[in-house]
Amino acid sequence: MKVLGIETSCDETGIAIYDTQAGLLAEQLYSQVDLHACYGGVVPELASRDHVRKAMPLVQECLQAAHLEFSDLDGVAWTAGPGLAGALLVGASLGQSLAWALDVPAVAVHHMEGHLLAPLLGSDPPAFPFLSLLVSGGHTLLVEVKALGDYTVLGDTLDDAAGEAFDKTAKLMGLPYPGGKALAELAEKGNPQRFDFPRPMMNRPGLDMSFSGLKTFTRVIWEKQRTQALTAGELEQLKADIAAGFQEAVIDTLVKKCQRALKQTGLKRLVVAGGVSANRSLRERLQTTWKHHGGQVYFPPVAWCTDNGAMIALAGALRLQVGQRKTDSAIEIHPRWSLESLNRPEAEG
Amino acid sequence: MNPTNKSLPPAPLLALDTATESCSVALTLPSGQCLSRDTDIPRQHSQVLFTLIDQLLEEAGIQKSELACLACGIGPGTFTGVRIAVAVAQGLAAALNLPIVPVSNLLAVAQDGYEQLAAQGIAPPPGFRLRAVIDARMHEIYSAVFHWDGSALQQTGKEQLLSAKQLLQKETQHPSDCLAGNALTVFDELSTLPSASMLPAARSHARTIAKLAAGQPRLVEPTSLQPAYLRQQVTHQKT
Repeated sequence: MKVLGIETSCDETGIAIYDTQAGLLAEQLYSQVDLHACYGGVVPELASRDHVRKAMPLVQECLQAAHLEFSDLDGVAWTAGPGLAGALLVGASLGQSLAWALDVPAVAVHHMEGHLLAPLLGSDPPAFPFLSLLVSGGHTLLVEVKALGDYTVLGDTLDDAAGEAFDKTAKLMGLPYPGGKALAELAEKGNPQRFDFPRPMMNRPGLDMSFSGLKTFTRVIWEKQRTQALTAGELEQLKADIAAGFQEAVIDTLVKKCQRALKQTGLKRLVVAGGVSANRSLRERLQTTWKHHGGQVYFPPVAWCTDNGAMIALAGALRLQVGQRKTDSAIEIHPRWSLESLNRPEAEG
Repeated sequence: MNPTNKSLPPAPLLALDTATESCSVALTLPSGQCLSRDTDIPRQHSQVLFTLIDQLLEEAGIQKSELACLACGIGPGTFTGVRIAVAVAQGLAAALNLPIVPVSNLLAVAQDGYEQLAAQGIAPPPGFRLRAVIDARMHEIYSAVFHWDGSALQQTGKEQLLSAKQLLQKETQHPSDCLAGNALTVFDELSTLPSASMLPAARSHARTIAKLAAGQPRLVEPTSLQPAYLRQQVTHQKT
């Protein structure tokens, strides 16, 4: 079963074709990061405008790359939410239109389910059940994944997402948008012990997290330290030390919460996904910790950690394969959509 | 598909319009007969569009595979509405291998205005000047001027985004014979203009778009179909 996946929930236009037998056949991704950089964040209307320019050409490029015709498609899946309403509507309109025209089943996919299942695209996919740590610019979630559609959110951030905290901290120190990656690179050159960053929510029971306090802590140090007469070299070192201290505090929190979650659930497999999972230090820390616990940790390839069409094509294909499909012809979107409201497709009859 | 700029659009032609307050679809059959469906429920365009299309095909007794051409209102209008029509038309055209005729929603409003005059027994003479005015919100108006050339409306100048004040200035300098469109119901100051006819009920509809498309030889590929927003300033760059 060959399924076209369309992702337009935020600032990436992702298109892919997934075959339930042969795996991923083609994928195309267009990132709008440069478009939004000068605004310091995603501008929803500009994002929507770019999606409607890019989505259709990318669909055609995917078909060409996979040597397929439209008539070879057996289903269409699109990200219906959560995300920016205007941006979601572009993918949903195109997806519903293709499904209707081709007379093939359609399915509306939850964006986070796409991320949770993305590791299954890899060559060594984890078996259900597993614990998933989803860390991105929009989310910081600990989810127990029992089966397709059976998700329990164990922990969430109470304020900023981890990736968002990275970006905001970077912005504070004048790094260009989106600064999370630059901050992580800077952290490699810094001394994490120079400043005593707090470890928010660490001493409280439970699996929820909080990262906005770290950003405030950074602002206080940054404002205080940079007013002193510093050479260019000292200023760079100050930035690097703040970045290192900040990053270590975030990673400590994430690792600790993962450990607690694994203990609480008795699970052995940990899957780390989302944009922040590309962070090298986080990967190393989790690898070391899990080796110690005798568990396995999985990182999907970096390309599938950020928003992409492949994970939507996959999630859609898995649901269509077991018979789930949209029963009406609405251009379905859910800008706000709880992950836990999803069901195992079998249960939907 | 081999769209050329010389051939006129073939039938059956399916027209979509979701750019303004009403969501409408129309189907022109080879016989020339035009069927249509619409709904005025706000913010429901995405929910009902395909239901309306299905109803239309069923009424006409044709399959989607028999469609020969698409037409689409590409704006200006609500940004989201325009994108729904364009993205849907792109998908239909690509999957069913159909050419698309893009039609301006300002032209559709002007055409409706012209037809309202004709229905009142007024036969506009050649040279008759009609200005279409669509409420663009944020105290602005999408507008374009058209002339009746004896057989069709021809656009004069560009489509523009204007404040009511700018529009009043333009009309004072160069009055139109008729103003048509929903901006007349929103901007009271336009009622002071000396235009002979004011048609606030003139609106865009897929039926009008289907009719206009039949007279327009411009066919495009699905990826070339893009919205005409007119309003480009949608954010302020941080300095």
